Amino acid sequence: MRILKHQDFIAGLCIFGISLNLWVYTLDFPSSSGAFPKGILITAMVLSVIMVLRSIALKKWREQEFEPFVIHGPKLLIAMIGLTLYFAVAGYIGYFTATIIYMPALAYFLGFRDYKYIALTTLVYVLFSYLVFFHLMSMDLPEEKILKLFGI
Amino acid sequence: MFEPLYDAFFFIMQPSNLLGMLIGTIIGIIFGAIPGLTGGIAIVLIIPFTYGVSPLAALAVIAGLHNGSSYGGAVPAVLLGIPGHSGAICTTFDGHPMAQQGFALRALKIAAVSSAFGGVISALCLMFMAPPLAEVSLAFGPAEIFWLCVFGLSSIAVLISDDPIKGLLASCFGIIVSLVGIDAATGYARYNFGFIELTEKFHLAVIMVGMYAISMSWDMAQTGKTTDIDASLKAIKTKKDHMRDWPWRSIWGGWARSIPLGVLVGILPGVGGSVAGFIAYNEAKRASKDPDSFGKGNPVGVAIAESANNADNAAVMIPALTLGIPGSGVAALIMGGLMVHGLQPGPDLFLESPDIVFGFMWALLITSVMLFPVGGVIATRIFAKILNLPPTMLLIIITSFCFIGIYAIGNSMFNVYITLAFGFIGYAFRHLNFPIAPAVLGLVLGEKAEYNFNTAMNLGLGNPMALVDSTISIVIACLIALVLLRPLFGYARNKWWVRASEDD
Repeated sequence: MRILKHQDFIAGLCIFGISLNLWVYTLDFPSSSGAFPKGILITAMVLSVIMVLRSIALKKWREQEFEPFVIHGPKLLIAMIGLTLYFAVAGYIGYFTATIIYMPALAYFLGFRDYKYIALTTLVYVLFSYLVFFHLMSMDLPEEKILKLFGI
Repeated sequence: MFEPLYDAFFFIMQPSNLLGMLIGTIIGIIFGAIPGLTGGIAIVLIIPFTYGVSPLAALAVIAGLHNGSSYGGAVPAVLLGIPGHSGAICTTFDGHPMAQQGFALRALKIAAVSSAFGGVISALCLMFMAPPLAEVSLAFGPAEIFWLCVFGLSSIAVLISDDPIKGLLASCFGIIVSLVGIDAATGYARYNFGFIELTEKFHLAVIMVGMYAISMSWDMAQTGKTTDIDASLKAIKTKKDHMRDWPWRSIWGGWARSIPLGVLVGILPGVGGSVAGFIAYNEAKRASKDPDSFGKGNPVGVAIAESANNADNAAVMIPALTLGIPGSGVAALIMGGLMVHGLQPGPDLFLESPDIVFGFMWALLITSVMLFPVGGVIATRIFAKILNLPPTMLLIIITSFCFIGIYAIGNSMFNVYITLAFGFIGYAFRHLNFPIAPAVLGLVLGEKAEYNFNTAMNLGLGNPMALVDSTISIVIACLIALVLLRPLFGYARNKWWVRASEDD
């Protein structure tokens, strides 16, 4: 478990930097469009400075303990990459095709090894989604390019 | 005077209309319970199906969808800590801790009863008090609505969060995100960084699903736990929750405070929706003898959040039906449903089609009552079965549902990618102890606050005093000052106590 120390200090600096960048970007806006966002960004910069200073100066915030930012790195990475690939691929090959691949694959890579359970859950979920959302509710979903080749 | 109401009751009680209400309620609960799918989407999808039925039957279904989805959002809010829609965010504050302590069944039933009660009172207000309440809504001009937005943002940031600074920063984040896109006043594209897709405003569900559901799924992947809810599962299966054991006195007190607030916020054009729950929750916490218990599994917190959330359901239709001005986005869709069936919302609607208007009001009341048996008894047990799933499979199903919910908004893969991006941001929020609720409220209210601020300033010809030109504005501004100074008062009082006890 990695515990990120001084995370308020780092977060405060990051927020200040991002707010400052956005504020500079906002300078190009017409005055009526830029007034409100500038006010919000200045507020954010002031608050982030307060956050940074209190993380240094005040004992309560200096000695504050934080939850770990990453609990299990490999599983987090697998979940993030898996979901990103699923969302990207679903748009190209179709939602149901992508889901049939995503569900068993991610379950396997996250360490779940009950294959019958995985197969049953995938089947039930895909059928439910197809019947309720696609067939009954006529919701539009990405075109099933691979299933189309098989005439489905 | 009440003859149209009496006649409409017999129209709405026809079997076809009752069936429509039941179906609408069930579908509404399902849609509300799935993050990303909202009552609004359900209404949009159902309207084409209603072409072949009578206007009253169509409105009966829509009333069921509207009330059902409002309650449905409480189910994942309690069981998983993921609000099904923005109105259920406050339900997560106490509902999910209750579930973690083994009281999921109680939390869900309190949510169902509170939703039902709030919806019934709201429907009665619509039936009997629509014209005078419409007058109240007219008293709120741009300046008043601006201050109300600021009040909502500041109070949720300060009173709900453990850390007011982080709460306010989260609000600022939400406000800036709400400003991405074309400025309605000038037509200038703000913060689009050259991407044409970013000229459109972000949809609220896109942000919420990312920050809540996606980020939570990544936590579940790491911990392999469905948020320690196993004890709660046993409670649902084996232990019966008796309503006589509920803290009724506190719950009634909470309802008495939250439902009028929900109705009042609901009638304000353009402000209704999720804001009612936030304001009611804040006020209840502030007025409570034990404010520290809120956010830690206080059942009254669930009662307040859900009753206020559902109290604005019928209330948002008051300005819509009487003035032709929708109180929320869903009210606008319902007005669209009326117009599809040849009915023009506005004062004349009551004269031209009283049976349909009052029948719709009865439908809102009856579907609110239906929430208890359908939502509190049936849906509770069905949705609780979901927790039997291993956490790994559950998170995969949640993320798969998220795709459907988000893609349904405009059939856009861009929205899906934005949801993913906000998933990363939501993960950072969770692990850096930034509260997500103020960010979502900032998204809801940010652009509204700016629009009303600019309108008030234009009406006042640039004079800032136009913002405090009415008693309502001054009162709300003073409340904001009190809320923002409250942490300082608390700090000073604690210092004084410590010094006093040291001197002793």
